[in-house]
Amino acid sequence: MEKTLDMPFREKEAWLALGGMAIGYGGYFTAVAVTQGQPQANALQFILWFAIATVVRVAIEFGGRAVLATRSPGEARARPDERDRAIAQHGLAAGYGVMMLALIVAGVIMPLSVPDSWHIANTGLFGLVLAEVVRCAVVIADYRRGWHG
Amino acid sequence: MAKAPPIANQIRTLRFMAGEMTQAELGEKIGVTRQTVAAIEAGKYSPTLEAAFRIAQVFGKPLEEVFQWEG
Repeated sequence: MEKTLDMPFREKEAWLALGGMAIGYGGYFTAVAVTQGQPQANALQFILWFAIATVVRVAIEFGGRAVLATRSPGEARARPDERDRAIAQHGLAAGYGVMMLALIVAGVIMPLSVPDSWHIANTGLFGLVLAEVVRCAVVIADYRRGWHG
Repeated sequence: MAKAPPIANQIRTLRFMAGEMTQAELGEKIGVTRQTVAAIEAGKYSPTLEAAFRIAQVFGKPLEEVFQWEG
């Protein structure tokens, strides 16, 4: 029987990226929120946590992609078609808007009102992660619900 | 989600009439994935004009016999 509702390879990649971001950076920002304002929180600690979160994210995304490529090498090798490109462009546009907003907040507004540089840095990082999450979410939604440009 | 344009298509019927051509076979002929053919058939994606002409060419039909404007 012909399949009609199976997941395109690019959608699987978007799910992996979303999962990697949620697990890796979700853990990091939870730890940051819990330790905010505590005297023992220091820069080295934040850097170490962020490095761990990045390793987790990369392991999930690229490890998962390697597994997917092993299971369906033809789809992994295929270039994105016109629908893949249209959906990717829509996702990028949505993520770009979020990233610009976050960078205005962290790069323009917060330096004028927040003395703690790590608070500003973490807000900027959160904005970047949120932009990527929005990009992935839009891509997944477009594949599942349809996208007509 | 962008509102789906009022465009119907006869791709499924035309595939059936073309010796039960699979979505993968049609996709290969026009340069898109099987999932994209499925999305076009289901009205979840509007192909580019070039892809629409390629589909019509595969079935040897004029464009308006493959896609119909229902607005």
